[in-house]
Amino acid sequence: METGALPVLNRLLVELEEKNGSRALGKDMLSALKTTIDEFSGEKDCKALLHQLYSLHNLMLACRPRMAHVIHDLQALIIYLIAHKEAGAEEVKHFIDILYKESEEQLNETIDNALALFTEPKHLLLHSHSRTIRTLIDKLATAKVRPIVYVAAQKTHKTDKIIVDLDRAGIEHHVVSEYSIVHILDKLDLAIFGALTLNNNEEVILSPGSGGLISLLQQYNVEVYAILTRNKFSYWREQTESAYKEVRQKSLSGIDYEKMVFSHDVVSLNLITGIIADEKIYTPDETRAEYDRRQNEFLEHEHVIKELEGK
Amino acid sequence: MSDITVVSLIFAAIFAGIISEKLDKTILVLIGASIIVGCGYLHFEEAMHSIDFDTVILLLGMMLLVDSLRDLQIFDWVALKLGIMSRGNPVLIFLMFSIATATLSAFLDNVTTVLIIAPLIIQLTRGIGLPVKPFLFSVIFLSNIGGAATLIGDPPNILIGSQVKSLTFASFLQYLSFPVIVSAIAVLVMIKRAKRDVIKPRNSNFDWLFMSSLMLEQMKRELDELHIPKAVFVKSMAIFLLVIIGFFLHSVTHLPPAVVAISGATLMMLVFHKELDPHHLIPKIEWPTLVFFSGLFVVVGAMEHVGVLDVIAHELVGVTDNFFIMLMIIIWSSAILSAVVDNIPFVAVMIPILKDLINSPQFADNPKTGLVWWALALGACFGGNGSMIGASANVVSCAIAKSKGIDIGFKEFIKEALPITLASIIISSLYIAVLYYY
Repeated sequence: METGALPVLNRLLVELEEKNGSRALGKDMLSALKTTIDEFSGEKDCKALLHQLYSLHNLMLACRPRMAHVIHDLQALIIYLIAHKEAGAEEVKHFIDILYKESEEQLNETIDNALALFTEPKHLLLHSHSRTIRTLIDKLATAKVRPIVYVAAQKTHKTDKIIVDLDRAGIEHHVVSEYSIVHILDKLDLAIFGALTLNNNEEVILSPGSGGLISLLQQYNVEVYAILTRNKFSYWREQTESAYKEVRQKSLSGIDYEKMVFSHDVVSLNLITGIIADEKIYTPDETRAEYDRRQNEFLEHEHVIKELEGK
Repeated sequence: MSDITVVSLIFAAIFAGIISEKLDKTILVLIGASIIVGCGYLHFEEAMHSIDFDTVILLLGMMLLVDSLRDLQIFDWVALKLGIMSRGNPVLIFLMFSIATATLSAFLDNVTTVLIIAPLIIQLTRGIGLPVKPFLFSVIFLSNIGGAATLIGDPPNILIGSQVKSLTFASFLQYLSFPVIVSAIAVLVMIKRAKRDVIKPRNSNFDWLFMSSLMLEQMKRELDELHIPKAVFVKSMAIFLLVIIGFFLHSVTHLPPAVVAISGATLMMLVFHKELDPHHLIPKIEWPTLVFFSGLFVVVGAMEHVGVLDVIAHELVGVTDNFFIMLMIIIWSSAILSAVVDNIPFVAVMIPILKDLINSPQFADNPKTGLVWWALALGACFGGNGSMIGASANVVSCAIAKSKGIDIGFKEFIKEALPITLASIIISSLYIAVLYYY
């Protein structure tokens, strides 16, 4: 028997986000949507596609944590179909290409904003191994001023990628266990983290292990930046779980116990020095203002989608 | 006690020890060989002579070749390509991975094949919400069936091919490929029919199709990150192909398969001396397996020396003077025994017995005596599917599944395996019957 779609999709999204980062997940989602439209054997007119996208949209909404940017792209597609009732599969695929291109542009703009932090030699701490962070490393390779990088090492398969990229980029780097960062805090000027989303509680959702690290960095006045484009903000007002949770059965010397595993960490926006976004680097206050401004537009979109879905 | 009784008891004790799984089989045969040489049932020089170095070197050469290809990430590339080509369609996943498993296991050892395929099929099927077991069972069964097709595909065939000098790589393929292909098709049809509610296209379900497509994007990403230079890919595959051609050209070159395999492995290490560190590669060889084979040859050598095998051959000849019935006894007993015990010691003992059998006055004039080797190979290889412990590939696959949270019970395995094993042995019996009578 096939298992239910929701747990499978939820686990898949969390795993892919953990492996490659949220931006890569967003791009993969767009490519996968194009393949799905190609392979789908059902009707592919506007009405039929809308029906399928509503269903997928609802599934995505039920996943925890919500992958906001993925849902935003899906909503953009739905809004496009609502406005273009004659659109078929080819038009939808063309619109997906536009979304894909926009995502690339946002990434480039965000990376450019991050590069502006490196006008003088600095000691930088990296923890995330997302595609965005790896793209930043690529760009730093050709920057006039290169930082000295400290890698907060996690599991080997995560950290190895950054080490290879730093080596390839010719950037001086040192590797320290993520739980031993306290010993190099006096050397650090700033830290950059990849982030999944910013929620309605003014919390930034990041990869596991980031929370403790950021608290420590704050104590020692090390600047903390999170890379988070505005399309990754979660504008929903209702409270939802901020991480995917699994309970794993473990055994140790005959003692059976349960281990809780969480997919993400949650950090207050106040602990972040700046949000590196596509437009600029926002302070926490500027982030709040931008969040509020865009939230209304989002809620209008969602209202339209819910109304039409009901019909 | 006579020498025959003591050596027989030693072999029986080793066999019982292997079944009980209390001690590793390599330790067991080493104990047996030590007692045999220590007690003088076989002199040290005779023990050394009884080790069939053709088999040991062939195994060593193939292990080195396969480990080289694994270190060069060629197998990761193959597995990911397969996943992408399946487009997330359960029917294509089922067919492509099963056929690829059968094909790969014909040229690689079965354990290596499942080590390549099993983790990916688990990741892929689980990732897109399909039940893992039907797909994994198919991979396990097809690895044992495919392994029967060639001289190098499965240890029983390596033993037979190395010790029966009249048999060549080409003759294995000529006689065994047909029953292997027919059995593989039969097994695929049986699994597909039994699991038709799972192994069916999903193109009509947009949500599931989307998840499959998302999983494929991840595989494309992993494939991109492999970074295998084209030159490495082409050269390594060319060397592997050269080895296979070397096996085929035995009748022209007269080079034993062991020489071809070890030369190919050496060439591989020479060409990729920058990528492959021998100090890293050579320790990866399954030395316990090679020691197990060597020790086993000493024990079997002692059984031959003291006359145990003559007695068994004599008894076997006495069972029937109908050679066809003898062939059926060989194929079915090999299958049943292989399902419950390690088939390597069984085949190692059977080879000298069958050599005696076909040279006995009763059967020496029969023009079809060569069929015993195909009956033995088919029975031993296909019988390995019969239970969870019937073949190393089964044990390894179930262990991989368990490490990923998928438990396969002994009874559950037998329930799935029994119809498959019966079908493949019936097909093999019919095939041997056709060869015998026509």
